[in-house]
Amino acid sequence: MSVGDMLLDDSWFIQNTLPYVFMWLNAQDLLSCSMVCKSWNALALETRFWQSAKFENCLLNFNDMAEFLCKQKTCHLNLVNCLYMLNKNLIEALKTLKNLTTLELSAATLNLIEQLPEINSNLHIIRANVICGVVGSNLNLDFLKRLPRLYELKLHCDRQLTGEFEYLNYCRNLRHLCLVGVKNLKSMNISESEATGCERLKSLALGDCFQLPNTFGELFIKKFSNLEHLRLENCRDSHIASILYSISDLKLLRTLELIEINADKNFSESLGYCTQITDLVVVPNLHRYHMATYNHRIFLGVVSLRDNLKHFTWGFSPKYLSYINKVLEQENSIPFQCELLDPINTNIFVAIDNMNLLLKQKMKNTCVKIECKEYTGDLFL
Amino acid sequence: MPKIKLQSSDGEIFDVDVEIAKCSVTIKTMLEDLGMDDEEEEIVPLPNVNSAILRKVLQWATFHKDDPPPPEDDENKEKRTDDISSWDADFLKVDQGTLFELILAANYLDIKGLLDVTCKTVANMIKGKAPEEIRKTFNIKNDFTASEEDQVRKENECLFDIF
Repeated sequence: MSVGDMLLDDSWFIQNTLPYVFMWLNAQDLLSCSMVCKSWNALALETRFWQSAKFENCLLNFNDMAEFLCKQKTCHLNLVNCLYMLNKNLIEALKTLKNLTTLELSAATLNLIEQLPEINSNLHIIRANVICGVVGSNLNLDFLKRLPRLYELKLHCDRQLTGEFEYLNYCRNLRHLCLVGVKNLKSMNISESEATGCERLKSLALGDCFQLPNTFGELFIKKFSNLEHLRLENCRDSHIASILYSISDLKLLRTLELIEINADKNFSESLGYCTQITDLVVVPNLHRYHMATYNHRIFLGVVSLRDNLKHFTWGFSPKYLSYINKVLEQENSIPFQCELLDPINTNIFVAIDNMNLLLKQKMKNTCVKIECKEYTGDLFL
Repeated sequence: MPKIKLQSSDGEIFDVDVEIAKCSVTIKTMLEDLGMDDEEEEIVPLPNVNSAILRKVLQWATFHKDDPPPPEDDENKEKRTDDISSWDADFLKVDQGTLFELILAANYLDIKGLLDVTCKTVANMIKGKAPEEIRKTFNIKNDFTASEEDQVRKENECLFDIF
């Protein structure tokens, strides 16, 4: 019998192959499969394939879709690659999905985000790209008060995310928090009491967090006593050393990612205090004058963690390496210079291969990787 | 390295490193449950896998013997099918009959890595295709009557806003 015949009506063959294939299909493809033949129709519409539904590159008729997904008991809905302009219909439709616990959206309006508790107060996981639209409009995190079961929150704002961090206090179940577009933390009022409800947080990632206040580590990060994973992305103009000093108090922290940082004065020394870290990623910021010094400080700081460090990734963005290649005319090398010798001369280079060898020599028990890729943004969607 | 003998459905015997054979959870459990001693070189019968397919499976398992264990299924994790390694893609350039037999074998032998990669390959043959194109790809007859097909199509179409 041919494969085609078996796929048509050999139910043993179908049951032992197709379900494992259907697992990998998105919603539209499953619906196409449901139109192939009778046996595929029955299989593709089984609720097990619709627990998690992902729609891509399509315009949905929300009313009919919601009715269908409600029947299919969908609990995870992914509309990240979907077009939806009629937000009003979307909100009403989502409200009917009683089983919904995970929602992934892109280009979500402020209005939609702020109404999430009304859509389903039982939401566990929210991942969304947020369009703020008008300059000066801000996302009010007030809605978090009404999502008591929230376990993971990822919000990526195109403009500014404000609102008070104290609302996170109400999310007693929150374990994973990722906020990108937090551009005005400096003006945010982070008082001592505000982080207390979040002490159970396990991972925290902040993107676009430049100009963090000097007290950020002491008054904020330090409160997350159960933190295991911290990522700070795009943290130029923030005082990293003061943050690192506070991090050294987080006993459970294992993974630290510092993306696009300036390794300012005291960087090596303060990083050296974070001896609990086992996994470290450092990506230096492109800086015209101090790159060589920054890299030297990174080197010294990392080497001082060698006793516990299992993995170290030294990342360079393509922009960084192309600057070195084109402007400084050096290939496969990074600027590296002991600041004591000549603080502003960037024209001293070490071949990446040699740096790799040097690190491996200094840190026998650490798996070292020097790599070039785009780091910013890869934490999200 | 200790070896065991695997017998395919058509009677061929394969001498295999125990460590490689154990990437099959089915074989691993069998060896543990039966308390088979690694040194006795007993024959493990595999009545559901023929020699051609078993040879392919063992070729795959040998290449992947040092892979880390595949991650547990996570509902909330993105399900990607575009991450098939080039070796696997070449390995799976086979006719559809063989591809589906590999799925059956991976399923029976409980080899998650092989099951995932074979199923992703078939999923990629389905993705983005209209029902008629899927039928053509796998040579499946359309057993809907005209009115049934009309009904199914209407039910599907109303879920989407057509431009």
